[in-house]
Amino acid sequence: MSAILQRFISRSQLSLWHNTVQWMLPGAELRGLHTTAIANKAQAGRYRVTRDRSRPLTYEMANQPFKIAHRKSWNSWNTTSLLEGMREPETVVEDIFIRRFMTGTWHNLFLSEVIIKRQHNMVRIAGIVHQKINAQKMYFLTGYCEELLSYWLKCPVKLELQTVTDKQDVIYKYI
Amino acid sequence: MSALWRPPLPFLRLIAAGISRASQHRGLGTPAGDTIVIPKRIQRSPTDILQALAGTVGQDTTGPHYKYSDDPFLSPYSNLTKRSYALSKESGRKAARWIREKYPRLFSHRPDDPLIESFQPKQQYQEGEQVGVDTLVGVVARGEVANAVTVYHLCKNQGVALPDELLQDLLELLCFYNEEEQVDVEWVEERWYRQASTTTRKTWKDNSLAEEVFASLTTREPAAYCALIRGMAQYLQVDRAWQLYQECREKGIPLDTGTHNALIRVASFLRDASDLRWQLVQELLCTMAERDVQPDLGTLNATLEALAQVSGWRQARDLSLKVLMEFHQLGIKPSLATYYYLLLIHCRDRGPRSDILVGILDQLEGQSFTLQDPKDTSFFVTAMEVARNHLKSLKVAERVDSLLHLGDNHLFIGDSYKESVYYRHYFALSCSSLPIDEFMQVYDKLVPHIYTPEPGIMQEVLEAVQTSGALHYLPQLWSDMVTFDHSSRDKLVGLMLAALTHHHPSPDNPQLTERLVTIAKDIWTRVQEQDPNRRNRVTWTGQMLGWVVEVVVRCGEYQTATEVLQEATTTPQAVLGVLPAPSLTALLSAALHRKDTDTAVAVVLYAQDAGHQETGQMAQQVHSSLPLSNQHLAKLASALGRDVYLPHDTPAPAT
Repeated sequence: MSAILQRFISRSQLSLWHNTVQWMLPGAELRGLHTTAIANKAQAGRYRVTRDRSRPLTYEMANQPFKIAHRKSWNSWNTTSLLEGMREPETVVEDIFIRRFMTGTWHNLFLSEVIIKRQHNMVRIAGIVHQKINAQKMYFLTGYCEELLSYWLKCPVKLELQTVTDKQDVIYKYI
Repeated sequence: MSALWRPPLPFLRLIAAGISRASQHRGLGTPAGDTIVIPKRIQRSPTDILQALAGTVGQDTTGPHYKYSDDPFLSPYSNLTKRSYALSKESGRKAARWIREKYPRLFSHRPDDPLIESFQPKQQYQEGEQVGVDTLVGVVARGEVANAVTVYHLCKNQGVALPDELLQDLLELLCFYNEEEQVDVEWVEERWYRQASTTTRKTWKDNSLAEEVFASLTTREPAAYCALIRGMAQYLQVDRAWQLYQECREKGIPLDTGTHNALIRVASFLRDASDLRWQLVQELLCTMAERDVQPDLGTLNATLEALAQVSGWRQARDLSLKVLMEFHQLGIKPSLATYYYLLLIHCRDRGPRSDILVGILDQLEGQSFTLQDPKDTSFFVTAMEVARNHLKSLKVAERVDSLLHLGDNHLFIGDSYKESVYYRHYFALSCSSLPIDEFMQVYDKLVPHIYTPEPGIMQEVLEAVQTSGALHYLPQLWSDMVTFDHSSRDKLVGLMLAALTHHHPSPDNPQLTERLVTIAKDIWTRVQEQDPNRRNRVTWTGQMLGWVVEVVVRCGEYQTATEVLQEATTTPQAVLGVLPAPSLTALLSAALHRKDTDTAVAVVLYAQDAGHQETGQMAQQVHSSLPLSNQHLAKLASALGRDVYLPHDTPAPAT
């Protein structure tokens, strides 16, 4: 039935009809007629191709989420999702906080994602940084972030940064 | 096949033997009398496993220290960057600490259970805050000196009665630190890079809180006297410490070993002549014996320290050995500090040569140590200095070094200053005693991550390379000099150029020639491109430019030589002195060879300006080998005038 309908009626018309039926007959049975976006059209972690192919992508960006564990790796490493793993919600919120703190403190300097690795009682934060400020300032920021984050997270925090001279160095391709 | 088969590995053989034995015993049970002894449980501390793991990792000489980020951009090479990077990182940590102390409410989030004190903001005490005895107990127990002072005053103002035991603890805290807040244990780098203060003047605060607390004690226990005397002696308020000591003697108050040790240590401030000082030390030791106060390692070290302060005294050496012997009979084992004082007493700069270090090493070899005395950290640096300056023996130095790298002994290196002095001595001794190839192995091992040579040491290395003619090490040394910021030091650049002039190009070594001439050109461009506002700049001297010319001409980089000459001619004020005649001659012959008349004439003119005696000869050479244009002739004639006689039989210039 729905297949026949879909053949003759355009998507927008179907959606309109769906809404109308919902409004007139709340809870009406419409099984088989679903108008939500289909799964493989998900947009998270995907980038739109530009007309002149000028959008720079890092390796991380160039690989879609389903390629995690095949061609790229996770951005957060922890054991919360394993059997009997603990503190899952706390860890997620802390990771969001760490990412915001890092990108804000290292303003316009991070060229990669902020990778957060948790081992035992320790948090290790890795990433690629642009050599826009001198090494001394980088060391200052490193010490500052390690100390301040450890005061909040109540555990030792270590930064493991790599630097590149040019922003272009991390560009994998243009789309 | 089975007859040929043998278990390939020993453990397989053991298993095979075990199987056969098990099959013999099967059905018989355990033979009687074969009891299983379960070993007793060994108590381990929480960090024992970590320490065991750390014990398996040696020192990595191939990369920077682990406190630095492992990235080429962030790796320090020169002493300056090592220091500034480490301190910058700590400065960032201090900024974070400041934020935490300033805005403690931002850190009220508490995911830790149980509470971890050290992540919490430190409690600050203000005027008018309600405090009790417990507050003071807490701050004294944590050793927070400044807080203790504030809380004590608050308690006084609020009329809180303080028990004598607490006051005693407070007194001990104040006397030990002289009422000054210490650098936090967490600021590792600051403590590492801080210059250890070696003040020999009074720093004790007179009429301070410590004395007030002492006066406010209702019953003065001997411990209170001990604390005050120790504090005064440590911060060199020696006269009053001595007064108190006399008071105690009169009143018959027993003093403990540590107090006697503190007094022995400052004996040299109480008397002038060497023998009188020693007499005082003896008196104190005898008093200890009379009163049955047991001496300890501190007494031994204090006695030797007192002797080290009069090490110029003739009897000091004999006495030190006697003291050591006597304490040995008492069953007191010496620590590294003991040996440090022995070295100070026996190995003096102008004293006779003493082999005591060899004896000490015979005793210590193969041992690892625990820290027992603050001066324990001075042993290794002093031992290395003795090995270099007193014994001048690389063998001894290597023994000291292997002792340092045994187990955890490297922790006794002290601070950054001591470490750099230690390696400076070791490095300089290796440089002067080893053949150059073996020395360069030491160089590759230590430089740049363990030790960055100071300019003076670099100079010795360059001289050694030059003397031994191992010029193929120069490119490596030059690139190191550039990374260590030595490329703007006149003396080192001059030495490098002088070493380069020792190279004689031959068809066997075209690659070496190319690399060496690259250095010369690099020096030339580097110095030319210096920032004129820079403070430490290389100033060209005539000699240095002469070396540049000589090297580049000899190695076939004629173009650079002409640039140098042009520079020397156009801006003579930027060059100290003049290019020496041999360099000019070398350049002239190259110019003649290439029939480069302009340069040849310029050389002659420069030589005339410089006032070299060879100018006439040069002019004749130019004149006879090259056809000169009118202009050139006119230039030569006007510059040389009548000083130089040009032969008449040269063809007259066409007019």
